[in-house]
Amino acid sequence: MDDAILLIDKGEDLQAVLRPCRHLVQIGFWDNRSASAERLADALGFTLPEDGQQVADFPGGWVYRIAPSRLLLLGSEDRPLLPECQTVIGQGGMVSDISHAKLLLDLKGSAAVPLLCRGITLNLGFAGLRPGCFAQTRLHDASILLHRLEEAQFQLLIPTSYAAAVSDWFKDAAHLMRY
Amino acid sequence: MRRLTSGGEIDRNRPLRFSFDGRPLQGFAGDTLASALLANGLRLVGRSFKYHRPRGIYAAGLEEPNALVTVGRGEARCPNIQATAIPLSEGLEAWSQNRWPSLGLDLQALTGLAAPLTSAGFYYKTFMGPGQGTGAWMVYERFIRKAAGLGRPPKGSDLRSAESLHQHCQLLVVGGGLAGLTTALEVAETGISVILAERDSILGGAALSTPHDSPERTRRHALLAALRDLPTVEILTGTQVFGAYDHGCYAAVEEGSRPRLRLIRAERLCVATGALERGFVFPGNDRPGVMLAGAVRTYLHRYGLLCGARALVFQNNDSGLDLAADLAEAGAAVTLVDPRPDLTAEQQARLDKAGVDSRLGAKVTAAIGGRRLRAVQLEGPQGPDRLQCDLLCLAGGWSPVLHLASQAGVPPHWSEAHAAFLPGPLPPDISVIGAAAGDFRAMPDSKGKPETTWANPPLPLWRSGEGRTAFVDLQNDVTAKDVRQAHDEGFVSVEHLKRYTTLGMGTDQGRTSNVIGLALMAEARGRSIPATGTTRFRPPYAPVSLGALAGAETGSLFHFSRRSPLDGLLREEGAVMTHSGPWLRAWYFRENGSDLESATCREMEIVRQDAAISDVSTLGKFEIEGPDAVTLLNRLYCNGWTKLAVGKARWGVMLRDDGYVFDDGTTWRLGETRYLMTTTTAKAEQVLSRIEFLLATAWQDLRVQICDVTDHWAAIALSGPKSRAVLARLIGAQQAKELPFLGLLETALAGVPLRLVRVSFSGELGFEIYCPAHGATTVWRALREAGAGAYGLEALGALRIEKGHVSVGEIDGRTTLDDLGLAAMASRRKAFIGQVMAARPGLNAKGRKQLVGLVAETPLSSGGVLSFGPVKGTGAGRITAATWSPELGCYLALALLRDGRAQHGREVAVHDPARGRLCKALVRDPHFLDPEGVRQRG
Repeated sequence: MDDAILLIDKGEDLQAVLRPCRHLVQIGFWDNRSASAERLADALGFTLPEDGQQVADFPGGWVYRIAPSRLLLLGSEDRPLLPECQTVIGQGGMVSDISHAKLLLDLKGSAAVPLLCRGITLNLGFAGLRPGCFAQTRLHDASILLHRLEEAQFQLLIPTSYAAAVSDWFKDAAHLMRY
Repeated sequence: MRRLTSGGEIDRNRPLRFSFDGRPLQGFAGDTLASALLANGLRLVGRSFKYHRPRGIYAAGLEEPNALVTVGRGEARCPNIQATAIPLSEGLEAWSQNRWPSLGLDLQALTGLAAPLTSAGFYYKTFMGPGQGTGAWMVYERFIRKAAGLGRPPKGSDLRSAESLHQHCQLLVVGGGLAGLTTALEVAETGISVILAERDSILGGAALSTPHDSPERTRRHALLAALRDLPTVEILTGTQVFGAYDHGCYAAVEEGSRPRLRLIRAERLCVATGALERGFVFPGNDRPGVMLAGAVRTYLHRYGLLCGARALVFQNNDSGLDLAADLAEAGAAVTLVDPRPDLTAEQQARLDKAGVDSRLGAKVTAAIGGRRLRAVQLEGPQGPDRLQCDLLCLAGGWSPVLHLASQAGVPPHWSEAHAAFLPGPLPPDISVIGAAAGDFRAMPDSKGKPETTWANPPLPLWRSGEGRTAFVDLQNDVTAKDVRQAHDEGFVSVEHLKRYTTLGMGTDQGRTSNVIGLALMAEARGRSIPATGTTRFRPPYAPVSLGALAGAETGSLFHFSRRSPLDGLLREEGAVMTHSGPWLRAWYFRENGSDLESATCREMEIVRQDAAISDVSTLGKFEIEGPDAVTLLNRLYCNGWTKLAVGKARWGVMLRDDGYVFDDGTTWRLGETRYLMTTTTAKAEQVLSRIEFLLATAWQDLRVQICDVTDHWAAIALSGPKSRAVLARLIGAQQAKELPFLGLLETALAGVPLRLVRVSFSGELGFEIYCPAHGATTVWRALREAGAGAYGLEALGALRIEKGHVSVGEIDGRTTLDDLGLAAMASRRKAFIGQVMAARPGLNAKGRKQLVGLVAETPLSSGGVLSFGPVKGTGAGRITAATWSPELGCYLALALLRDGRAQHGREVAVHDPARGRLCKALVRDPHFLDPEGVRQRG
């Protein structure tokens, strides 16, 4: 897909938009905390996340630590990451462009949490996933990465092949909630 | 029976119309169906399961054994619901069940005449076993099933709009009585998140069964007011927590017109589920008008309903005293019967003040009546006596509701002082409070149960009369005689007793009968109750509709399908889609109304004669990189990778740990330390999971990384003798010509990066073209415009059969390399997964089934059984894949046949009982077409 698709538009209550990931790069290091990772963090201007929950950000992008020696970098429209990452990492790790492997689903509104609770087992209450954090979870068969931007604003990374099914699920769940 | 003019939780200003067996009736908001039926004077509401005896409402909650009804009509009906659990609503339609032709005149009640012959085990003894045989049972079964059962389930889908959701909390309190409310308030006030779930539509539990000015009611009001404004507590009414599962997950359901299933994950569980009252066993204890004492008090104070004008309260503990006084104060003539010789002075004074006649040292030995209770027979110090009455209230003691705690692993233990099972040792994350813990005080707290002190200790009494109609389990028509008979026939274990007699089965799950049945078995065995045993409880605690369990997410909303980036375009081109593992794939392309067979033949012909493309984006694709990447590949695959040059691809086979073949695919060397591994569509996720597991555990020393790029890269297979010419129109003749077999080329088309490898699955000259997913439609269209036809999954499968390539049908987890004719693939110069186990004698024994080809003049089907004579056991082999070959003009199959390679040239019988086919086929080499590989090498 080339353009964003408005899945649900119920004003401040609920809005869901599906759009392509322009720049998504997975980086794997041979060691857990390698010098290459530190170089990358310095070059892009972020602090390496300590765990698999906190999201690090840098100008024009986010960093998710999806495994002890693996990072996922999501760049904005005007922030191509692949060449920069390849230059910095060199032979010190694996840089893979997976921009076409995922789609982004932007979800926001007062009904966002109740909607997600219909399919995702994560605790989205005050003792659970907080803004600025992410989690790797599942929505039925689809593995998704859920990034909580604000209290009622989320960004979901969805496998491209599951995007149609996930979109249908969101529309149906919203319909059941009378949206 | 009459409705009082005031009192209760019903709203007399909101009348509700409903019907029972088609008869229009009226109740009030706040009624249950049971209370509304009673208020309308209906004593008879059902027929018993086995003997079709007339039955009335016995209880006021989920322990109700008798009043099972069907709600709704047509496909929207729901059978076997307890009338006590149905909130009354406008227009509700309820029907009695298990009667013919009507509830009042049920001719099936004639079966009761044969009751002496149809005791426990009747079916087993009469219709099964030696002498009767399976054949006889098959005849009887039809009639027995017609007569047995209760309501009729609908055959269609549940039309209600169900939904499900996940919730989390630090404490889940189950039960909204005073104990549960108190705990929820105390905990929530500390800032801990609490969910309180109550089955009933209103909170208060047993407090609702007390007079409106009672201390319990006052405390209830105070608790509710305090809880109302607390942000840390969520109160769910009308929500039944029915199951405790692993890791603190509890399932709760709200039934009704819009069922809602909640999966609640709680750090701690507080069980405040109260206790259920028991009755006594004596002849006629099932007559309409015989009720549990606590239920009668609930109907009086919650529903403003006086259940009888002349009542008799029969108790062996003090819990009937309040009821006796309350009934008398409400205007009934009341007699209290108690087998204990004395009451305390305070108790006696209260009864005297209320005008209750008391018979101490006496017991009820029989209830007399037909469709309604008329009198009871007493046995007392002055000898036998008979009392006229229309209501008999039984207070036989209390059984704490331990089901949820038991499901969570808390063992029940017997308390002689309580004459009940109480919760045993509790894990740190579970607490049991209130009546569920044996704290039967009217005003329980959250601190747990106090030391038991009885003003007048209860007298253990289970059975007060003997006779054929002395029922233990009213729902299943199990009598005391049945329990005795089970014992006499050796079914002395509690589990055997349950299964032999059906005691404790059904929708009420023996809530009023289990302990009594156990006590009678203990009596028969001459042992104590704890020595006789008890059962553990399983979910669900209460019936849950399948529609509620399924929720809204059925079909494609539950089982997600993966779609290729070409999905939309292929549909535009007429593709008929089919499921292939998790994917939706193009099955065949419908042209001019062609069906599967004709389309497949046409597509195969294009591939064999011309050039065509197929979407193979579903193949697993993983990038592997690192200094130790080649070491990883050498360990994963049975063949070697050390000498694979950059820019070349190689086909590889993986084994499982146990030595059987796991998966196959090509892997390409993109750079010095970088590879692209492809797998079959079916095993992609398993292969990735396996590699990730090994790298994270056994092979942490390997300096290598893997990245799943399956969704990033679309893939298109281009096959056919003219495929090179098609490709040349896209990338130029020179590049197309120079690409060697298993050679790799990275180029671009209209700005879309391409990775090409020359490889063939069809046996023809072929290429696989990979491009980023968002560019897939551009590349597909360019190939089509360059002259390529299109073929689908069916043709893809048929082409590979002609070529003799193995796939999922042959790599089924039971075949070795040698079985598939691939033994030469295994390297002897390196170690690889499965190598050692593949050397086991059993995997190399003579007589293993080996891959062969079959040729026949009649259709062959996968699953067909092969034999060289009469079929013995599983036969000599089986067909794994079959097709019609337009190229060869015959039916072909791949098969696994015992010592198959030695059978080439023989004729084998193919049995296909599922399709009613039996034919002959010729065994031969599996490579039907171009065995030398001339075509694919171009």
